[in-house]
Amino acid sequence: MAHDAHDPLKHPEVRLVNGRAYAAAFVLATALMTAALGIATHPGIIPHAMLALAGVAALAVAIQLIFLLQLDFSSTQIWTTVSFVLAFPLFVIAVGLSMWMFHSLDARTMLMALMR
Amino acid sequence: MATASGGMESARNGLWEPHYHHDVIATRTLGFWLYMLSDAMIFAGLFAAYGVLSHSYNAAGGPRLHALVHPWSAYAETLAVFASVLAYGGVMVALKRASRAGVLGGLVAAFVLGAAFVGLEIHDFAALFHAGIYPQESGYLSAFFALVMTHGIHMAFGLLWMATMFFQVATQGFTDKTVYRLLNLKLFWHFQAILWVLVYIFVDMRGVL
Repeated sequence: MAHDAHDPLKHPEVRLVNGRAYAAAFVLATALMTAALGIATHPGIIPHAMLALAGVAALAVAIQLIFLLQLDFSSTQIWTTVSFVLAFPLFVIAVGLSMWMFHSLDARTMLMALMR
Repeated sequence: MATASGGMESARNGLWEPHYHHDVIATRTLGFWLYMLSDAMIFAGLFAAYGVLSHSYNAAGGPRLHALVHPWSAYAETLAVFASVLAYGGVMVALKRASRAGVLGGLVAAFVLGAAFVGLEIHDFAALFHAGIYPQESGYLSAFFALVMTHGIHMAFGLLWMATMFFQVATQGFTDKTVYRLLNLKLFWHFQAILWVLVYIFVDMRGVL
């Protein structure tokens, strides 16, 4: 272990690099973004287009997290994955609660309706 | 416990001993990852502000999203970001193979493609400004420009970082410092692709819809 430490290229995080995973992320994410362009420019093509777009985004983000950032449960990556899993609800709360709060404010106050 | 000489012994004693004292690379990449997650909170705030301010009354009678986005331009930007991220993947593969020329070549490719993205975005903003659409026009436009420009500024800083790494790898080769910086730049750059997916879908494609 000690002699490995002197060669930074033998570090597990360098060994983790996976060219095929990066190529897969590129191909899959590009295909999904192309599909999103199709959905958005042909609104009649699919019901609930915005919901479908959100699904496409979620799938693309998941693919990139797994193939690009290589979030997994290996001993090298476990804390990267855990810290993301712990932070993720904070993103959902920050965006979701803010939008819900203002949406209900919009629905419950006359002021917003008058300004429309 | 610090005096343990055998590998077995140190493995049995505190888990963090070898990492904390010697594993500079793992410590700094995890630290930088935690910074990236807090940076992502800034984007969560900007997306929240954008979501809240996208109600029609926040446009104050001014232009709304449909007038601001161009699907094909956004798609071209997407291709530029993804290709740049793939090129940076090439940098990582070359690093694993200890190819200095490969790393330098990959950095140039990732830089050029990233610069193409920034150029396209500047072109889009210039067109909006030319049409008299500015951030101060309405709360809605402020949120729009703040979100998209924050991502653009991140991309520009990534380019600066790439240029720096080009000279550091060219002059210093692969040391602990240059290797963890290349790994951190990988986290930073690949994270920008994820953020771009969210901007592309929830700003650009939503506007086209």
